Amino acid sequence: MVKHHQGNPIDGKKVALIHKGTSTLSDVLAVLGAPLEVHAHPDGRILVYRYRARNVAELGIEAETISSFVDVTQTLSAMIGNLSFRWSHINADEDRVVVIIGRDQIVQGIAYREATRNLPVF
Amino acid sequence: MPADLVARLEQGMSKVAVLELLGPPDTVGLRLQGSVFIYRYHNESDKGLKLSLVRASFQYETSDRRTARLVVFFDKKGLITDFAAY
Repeated sequence: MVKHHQGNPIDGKKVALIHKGTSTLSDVLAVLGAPLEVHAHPDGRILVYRYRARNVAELGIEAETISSFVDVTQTLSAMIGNLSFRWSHINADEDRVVVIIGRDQIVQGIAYREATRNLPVF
Repeated sequence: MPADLVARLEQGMSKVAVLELLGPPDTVGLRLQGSVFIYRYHNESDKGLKLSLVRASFQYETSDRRTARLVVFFDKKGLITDFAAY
């Protein structure tokens, strides 16, 4: 089983400290840190924060290895040969925060998506 | 993709309203006369089975990656001009 994580974890409690209409760009940077992306739009700026998680679960069974424990004559192992079974499953998702900053440097909107906390392992 | 939320989109809606309605977009872009939000709803699953017996082998793998997407275009004032879903 392998877990991949990319980016910095996003703290929902910190996101809740940012308020539309009152928080400034400086407040956002102070609370959430440096964004992963900054987009300059005609009506202001958009900051994007991302945290990616990917869970890979893999199971492999080799019959010959297992049978050798119970079959001292090795007869069963010879019959089974190279019988093997492999199963794998991947779950991937991303936490994301997008902040819209107006030309007056005030937060116009903020949205937070939390998806990795309960990301299935299998 | 939350179809009921997408159905509430309409021309003239502000970028902030879209953000509050649909949440953070997957991609944010700049276009010639404004900007664009792209939402991707992605489901990824990989499963594999490999059987080998003596000199015969059988391998089966399935990879399911489904992506629904919604593109919302905004003018320079940050108001919806067009949107499309797939």
